[in-house]
Amino acid sequence: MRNTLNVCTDSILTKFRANHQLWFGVALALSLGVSSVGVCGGGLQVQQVVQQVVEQVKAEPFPQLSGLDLVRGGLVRVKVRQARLGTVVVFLSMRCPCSASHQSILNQLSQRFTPLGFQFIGVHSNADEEAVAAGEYFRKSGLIFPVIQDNKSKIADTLGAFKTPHVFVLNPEGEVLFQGGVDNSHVALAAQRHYLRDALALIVEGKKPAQKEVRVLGCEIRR
Amino acid sequence: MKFAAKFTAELVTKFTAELVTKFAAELVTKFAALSGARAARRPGSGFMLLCGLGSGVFGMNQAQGAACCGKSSAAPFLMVGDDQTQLSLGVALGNVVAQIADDGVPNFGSSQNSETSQTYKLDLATLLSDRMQGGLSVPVTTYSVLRGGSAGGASTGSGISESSTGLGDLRLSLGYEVLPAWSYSSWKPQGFLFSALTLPTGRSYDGSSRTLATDVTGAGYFSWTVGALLLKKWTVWDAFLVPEIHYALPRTLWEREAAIGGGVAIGGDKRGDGRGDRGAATGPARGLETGTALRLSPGFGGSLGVGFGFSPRSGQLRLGFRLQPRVEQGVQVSAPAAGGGTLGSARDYVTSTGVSVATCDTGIDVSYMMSSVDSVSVSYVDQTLLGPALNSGLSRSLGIGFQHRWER
Repeated sequence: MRNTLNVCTDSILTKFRANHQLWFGVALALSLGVSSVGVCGGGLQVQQVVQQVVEQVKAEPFPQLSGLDLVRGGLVRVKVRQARLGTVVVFLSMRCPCSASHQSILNQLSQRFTPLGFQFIGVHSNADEEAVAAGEYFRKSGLIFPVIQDNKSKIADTLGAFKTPHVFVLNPEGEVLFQGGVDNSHVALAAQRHYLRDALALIVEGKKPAQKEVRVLGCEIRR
Repeated sequence: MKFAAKFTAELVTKFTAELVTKFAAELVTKFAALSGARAARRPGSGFMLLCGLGSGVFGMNQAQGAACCGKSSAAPFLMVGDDQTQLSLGVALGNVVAQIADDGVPNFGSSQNSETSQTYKLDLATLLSDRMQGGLSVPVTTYSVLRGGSAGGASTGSGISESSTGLGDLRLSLGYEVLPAWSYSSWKPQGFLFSALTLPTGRSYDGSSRTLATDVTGAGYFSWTVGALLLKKWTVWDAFLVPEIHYALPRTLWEREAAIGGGVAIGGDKRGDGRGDRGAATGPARGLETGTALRLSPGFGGSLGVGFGFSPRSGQLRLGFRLQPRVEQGVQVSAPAAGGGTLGSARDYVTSTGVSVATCDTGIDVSYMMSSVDSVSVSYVDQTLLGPALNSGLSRSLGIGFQHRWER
């Protein structure tokens, strides 16, 4: 029952953020309904769910990073508050050569910066890439961090992701510290400026990234 | 109490089950939809449409150039994708099908006269910094004119046929991406400001040595263009807007030069297209005294290009439609008053102003991405479909181009 409630809560949270007004109305109606039932003395459990929803909505900043993990399977929910220094969200594609060429460097960055207080999460938002095929691709990709299936490109829309690979570095409060390309080349090995690496290194030093936003190269996300 | 607890538990279970079921159903639906047949997406085709837009802008230049040559008023060749360098090679075949005088009435002429052009054009653009780019355009044009002969063959006894090939006016350009597309927006366009300098490297009318002036490949003026390019694409649609104005610097024409031109087109030699209007003669070029000079002031011109495109299934093909009305001030000709003299002296001058020029290009473009770095485009431009049109030759032209890009 507890697990079911958590799934329920997560689902509500996800949908709440996707459509605040509608779900606020649902939560409100539910609260009222439950209160009525509660008067009869039986609404405690439902009230707890609603309370949990409200508290988590208040506690967890944007964006809500949850969905099917295409690398390991199963549902995954990433909380940006969990990472001490920040969360690196990178949008990936199964067909974009630019995205593929950066997977290795992203793994290296994840290995280097995760122990320092970052968490890495991939997001797959392309509507024209079959989710089943994408799952197969990412399972074989060797990525060491989860890749969330972003149905209806909700995460991409929330963050404004434009191309793959498009990187966002969020602090624990959900504020975007850096966004843009991993580096300044379509091909990772040809890059001369390593934007993401430099931004993370500065954050580790307690500084702000030199540039908050840089050009992102790659393939446009099909919404 | 027990009943209430049981009722609440049932409610929670039902509510939870509904949500989970709905979530699962959404997943299944999404997976099923995604598994359906859809256009294969080539690697790198995510920026295909932007490049396609580039082809459209390129096509605009190219096909318009076909009407005349070395056109100086259109937008320069700009890279709109995330590339390091972009090269374009194209040929445009143009045919002047009508002349329109300052009364706005077109004269479609006789089948015994023909005026055709083939413009070969090389366009190059390369990054100077992350948001700044420089460009170069090199046109070479072949003109063929037939007067009074049979329509498609050699000259008849009374007709004259003439053909010449020459370098047109070179153009140097700078572009700056003022509105970069660094994140997704459903409304914010990508925007460029550009500036271009057209050099009078082609032969102008006053330097022509041919009877029908087929060796005229340039305007004869330095011309400076400033403008903007705004473009926006959605999933399968795109749209762009290209306003620009240009100013051609005044030029002094001495008596010896003017005499060669015979005054045929001094007044009309200013449409921003490099050739001017044959036969639209105005201006007091004839009968100049030795040592006298004319000062030609072409003034300002401008155009507004607007168009949209469609890429079926967001694929490699793009179909585009565009309009570009443009206007040019009439050339102001200043000459010394009777009695001769030189410019710059205190003598009085006689000034006359030519008739303004107006045309409107209607174009369709088809471009196809062969790979993530190569594309071909075909453009058709017709100046006879929409107005305003004034004091100009009206042409139809077909352009074919090939583009190659080097990625960053």
